[in-house]
Amino acid sequence: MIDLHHAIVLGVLLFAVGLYGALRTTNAVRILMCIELMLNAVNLNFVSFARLAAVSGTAQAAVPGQVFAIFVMTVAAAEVAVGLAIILQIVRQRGVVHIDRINLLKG
Amino acid sequence: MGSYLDVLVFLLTGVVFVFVGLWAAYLFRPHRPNPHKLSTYECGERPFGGSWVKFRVRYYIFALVFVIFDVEAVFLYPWAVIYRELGLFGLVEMFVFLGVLVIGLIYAWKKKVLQWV
Amino acid sequence: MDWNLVTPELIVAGTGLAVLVLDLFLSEERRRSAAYLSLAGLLAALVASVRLLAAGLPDGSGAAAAGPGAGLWGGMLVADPFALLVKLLFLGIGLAVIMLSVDFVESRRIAAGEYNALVLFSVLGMMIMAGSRDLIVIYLGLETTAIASYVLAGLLRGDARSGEAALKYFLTGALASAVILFGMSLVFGGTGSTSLTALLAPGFLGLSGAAPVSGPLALAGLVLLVAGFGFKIAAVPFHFWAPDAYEGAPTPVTAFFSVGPKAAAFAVVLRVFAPVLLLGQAGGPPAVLPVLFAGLAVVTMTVGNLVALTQKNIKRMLAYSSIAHAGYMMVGLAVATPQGTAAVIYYLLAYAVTNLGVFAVVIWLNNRGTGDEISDYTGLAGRAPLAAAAMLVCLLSLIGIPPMVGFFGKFYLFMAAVEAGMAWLAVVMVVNSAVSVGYYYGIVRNMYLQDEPAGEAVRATPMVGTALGLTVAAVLALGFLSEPLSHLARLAGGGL
Repeated sequence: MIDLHHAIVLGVLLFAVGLYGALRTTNAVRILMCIELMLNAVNLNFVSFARLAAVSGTAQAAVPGQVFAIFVMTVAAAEVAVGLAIILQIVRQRGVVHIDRINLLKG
Repeated sequence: MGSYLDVLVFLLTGVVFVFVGLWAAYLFRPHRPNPHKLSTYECGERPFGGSWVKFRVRYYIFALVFVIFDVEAVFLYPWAVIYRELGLFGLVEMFVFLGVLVIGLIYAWKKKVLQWV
Repeated sequence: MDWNLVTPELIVAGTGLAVLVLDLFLSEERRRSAAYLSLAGLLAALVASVRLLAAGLPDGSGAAAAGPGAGLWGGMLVADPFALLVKLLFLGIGLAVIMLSVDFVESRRIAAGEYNALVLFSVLGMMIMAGSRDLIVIYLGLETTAIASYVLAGLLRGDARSGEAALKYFLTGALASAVILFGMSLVFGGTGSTSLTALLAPGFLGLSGAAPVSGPLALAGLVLLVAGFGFKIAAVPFHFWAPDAYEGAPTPVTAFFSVGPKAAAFAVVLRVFAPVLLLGQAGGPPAVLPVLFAGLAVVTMTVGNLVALTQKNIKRMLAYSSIAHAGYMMVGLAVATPQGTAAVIYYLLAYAVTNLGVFAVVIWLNNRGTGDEISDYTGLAGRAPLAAAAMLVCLLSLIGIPPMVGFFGKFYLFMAAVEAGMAWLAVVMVVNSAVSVGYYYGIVRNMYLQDEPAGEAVRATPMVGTALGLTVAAVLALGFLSEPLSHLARLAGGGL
């Protein structure tokens, strides 16, 4: 049977996949997608921990976990909007989305 | 494991059903192709151009604004579920929240993001 | 619910929205009023904070704003002396940055309404971070600051380097936020609560405690939080974004980044870790945390100082210098004593005013067409004696020469390390300060000891001049007032 621990393991795996992708790829949009994957892992964690707390009897712990997940979703949307706007500006200026080719600043 | 067997059976039935349906239709339908029939269906409009065209940048800004307002609406749901318990205070809070969103809308409006040119 | 406790935040939020709306209806030549309105709002919030702080101090009129659990939303947001003291700093930073940027914004054709509103929102997020005692509120404050900062970095639309700075700052910032969030989710899973006080339950974090899984889970979360906040304060393995973001961003925004979001991240680190570290001192030790902080401190200050020695661009050099200073501050966390906490708070104040002073000079000269290379400062004492003198005072403070405020900051950190029996850390700090003389002196030498065919004199504009005067006065005054100020820092640190 699937229990909550599987959900938490899935959360950890999702986070690891997202982190690997974010550090590995050079496409800015793809990095953004990987970060979103990490945030989904976080949400999964919050919701499953909230459920775990509710099952194990501390029902008041369930609410903050779900509230946190809602905040993460909304803030992530705002963050992505700003991030995509920044990427758009770069693409308009230089026509590239690869961070290894966006390298005016170094030293 | 019993519950997973159900899922498997359901899945297989679904896949088989689709293919059997398509195959049966292929057997019985008449074959009279013409250019109009083979063109892409776009809600009855006459299609033009390829599907890999560049969209205007304005389109993305439009989408971003939509995403923001769309997602912020999620806060209305928990509020709506218990707004009787929250009473007047909750109502005022929600209007403050919506007020901030409206300021964002006014900003987008004045910056002419909402105009489709 | 005592709404009085959040008046500073409400004022800043209201002003930010008002500036945003006002700017839409202003004609092109009256755009300066956005800056004036922002300054007025920040001043009002500053006054409100001072009043709250005066009322909350033990020798004040005695309204117990500092009592445990006093605050809004069941203690999620508090207004204790620590929060108020740090908020004063943040509001001061906001005031200085807006004063420094008025001319810059005008001459570079940055949208004034957006610029000022974003600075205000960023300051608002920092204030929320200072007062938060709950993971959700910390996250919201963090993101309010961060999202506004990403946009600020990219506001020079014509400059490709500004966009690049924004992209790099955004990608690392978002990654850091995700790591912090994952840490928070583990802490939540361990404690079953988003409140920070849940971490302090007796025996909870001790590995042999009653809860065999939740303690280590929360501890793993805390370690992830260290990594995530390491990004935000640009501690060394996580610092790579800082020089690029600092160099490419508009100069007043760089000034803001080097003190604002960094100080706010430190405030949260203190809020989360100071009680946990003190707990480790008292009972079953989560010994990994002090070791982690000590390691980060040593690596951060050493790498920051050594790389700063090789820099040619002054903004980039200041970025590495600010990395090094973050390393010094982490010494105060590594020692895990109340003295260490108080020393970090004092150092935050000292570093912020001093660094703002340095940037005030950089912006003054930048407005007058001087470049950002260190060689551009050659012969400055002849062209602008006042700017050179102000720069000298601030650089001496950054090195840590008495009687400037920077000396006392380092002195308290040094003493805290010695008293906690970590003299080796104090020695590393002193050696690093000696190394830092190398690059700070390079600027002084260029300004005073190298002759250049006398160019025309460069005068400051009233706004930049006032801001520079105030920060330099603060660098000197806070040094002389170090005794009462450190008392205040101890008091604030004690209430964490």
